[in-house]
Order: sequence, then structure tokens, then C-alpha cells
Amino acid sequence: MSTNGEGKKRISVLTPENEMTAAGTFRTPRIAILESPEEFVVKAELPGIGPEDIDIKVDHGRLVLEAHRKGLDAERLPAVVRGRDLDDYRRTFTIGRGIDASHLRAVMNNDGVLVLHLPKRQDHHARLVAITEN
Amino acid sequence: MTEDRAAMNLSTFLKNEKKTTVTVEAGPIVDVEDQSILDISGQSEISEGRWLEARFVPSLDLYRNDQHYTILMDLPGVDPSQVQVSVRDCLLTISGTRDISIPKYRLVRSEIISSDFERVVRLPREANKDEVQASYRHGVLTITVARKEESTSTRLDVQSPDEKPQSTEINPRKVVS
Repeated sequence: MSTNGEGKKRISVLTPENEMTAAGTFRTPRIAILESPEEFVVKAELPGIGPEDIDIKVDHGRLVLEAHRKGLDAERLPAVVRGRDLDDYRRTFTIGRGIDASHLRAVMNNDGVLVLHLPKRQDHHARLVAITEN
Repeated sequence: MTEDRAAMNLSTFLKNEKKTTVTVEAGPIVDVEDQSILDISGQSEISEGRWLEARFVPSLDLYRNDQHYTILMDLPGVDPSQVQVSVRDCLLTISGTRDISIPKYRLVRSEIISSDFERVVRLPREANKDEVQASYRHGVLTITVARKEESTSTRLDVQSPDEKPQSTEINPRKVVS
């Protein structure tokens, strides 16, 4: 479920207008968030989807992840049992001020998991404003 | 369906908090032939006060055409070298382990279960157990099992007399020959 708050104007920069009507066709990917002193890592399960079909948008403290499924050849065969999800994925994240979103890195190997590296802003607590005397 | 069952087991557990062992779903057996699902359950040890240890149950699709049975299984985050595919009698077993942790990183939030997994598919008689191929791409395991040429006559020979000879009547090839 997206954490979009209604009424916040800046969110609309990233949210397509038809999001409410399209919501049913998107599935929320399962994620894990890991943390080290230097960075956060988000892992998202996107089985069957290659890096070319994933969109990551960052704007105004919000990260939107979308993945579109092309479908595999085997999925067009006559099915006996269907248990896998065949929907597109979408998930929104709020990025705090302590994260340097301009240095975000996304990595994907062949294992269906997108790995996002979000470095922490190292100077986050040291922003002092000098006051000059007239 | 699996989730429902896991929830049911959890509520049973919560009603009886003194229990230290709870049954969890280890994944149903999927039968290609009659599409029925047989349950197998595993046991997971939990100590008092600790949350139920969930198990990764990969979802799968089964497809069938004239030449092959095809199994697709979502195994995101699984190292393919940690996956075993084995065929014994008519049971095809896919098992392995998944660990999404990173050394020295703290897990802040996890919806992805790190655990061993196992799923069993019962193959029909026409499956050729000697011709099983597996590949892994973008987190999806694809297994193809070749289908044998029709061998209904051998099957008829071993049929016991009190069994209904349904297949002979229904199978048009039999009627023609």
C-alpha cells in the first residue's frame, strides 16, 4: 500500500493522475530494508522482471518504484495451475532528509531482486548557520 | 490459500499461548494429473514470546502442452546454486534456501522471508523423468519435463480386472486401433 497522503501537493509530481483507477492492476512488491552506518539498502522482490522494465523516480523526498511485466513465453502455454502473481508492481517510499537521494544506486542481478542503495548524508547533523555581526 | 491457512494456524497458536510448537504450512503438493492439492505440513519450533517463524513458500505455475510439462516458480533472491531439483518416483521436489540478509547490516524491516523452502509436484505417468531441464532467469525457475509417447497399452496390461476400463472407452486412439 502506498503511503501517499492526500492533499500534499508535491506528491502529485510523482503520482500519475490515474493512480486511483489503476491501483487494482498494481501489486505491492515485498521489500526488506537494511541499514549500515553509511547507507540504507532496500531490496524489492520483482520476480520475472528485468532491469529494463523497472522505473525508479525520485523527486521531492519521494521514491516511486514501478515494474512492468512483459510476460514469459511459458506463461502463454495452456495452464494447469496458476499460483504466481502476474501483475505489475508499484511502491512509493518517503525519503528522509538524512538520505542523500542524489547518490542513489540501483543494482539488479539475475535473481529477481532489485537492490537500492541509499547513502546517508554524512553532514546531516552539522549544518550550522553562521550569524554575522553588523 | 496458503496465507489463510497460516493465519488460521497463528490464531490457533495465539489462543493457546503455552504451546511451544506450532504447525506451519510447508507448501501443498500440486498434482498435475487431477489438479488436486495434497497438504503436507511442517513443524516449526518457537519459544514462548517469540513470533511465529514463517517459512518461504514459493508460488508456482504449471503448464502443459503436447511435448512438455512446464513449471515456473518464483524464487526471487535465491542463489540458483542453492536450489536442488530432484525426481523420485513420480514426485518432483524443488528445495533450497534463501537468505536476504547482508553481513554487518541491520534488518530494519522485512517482508521477505529468509528460510529453507521446499515444494513438491506430483508428475503424471506420461512425464519422462529422464528428461528434466531447469533454468533460472530474473528470479524465476523454469523446469520442463518431457512427455513420453503414448504408452496406454502397457498401462492396460497391469490394470486389475475390477478397475473400470474407463480410459479405453474415452481415449479415441484406443478405439481406432
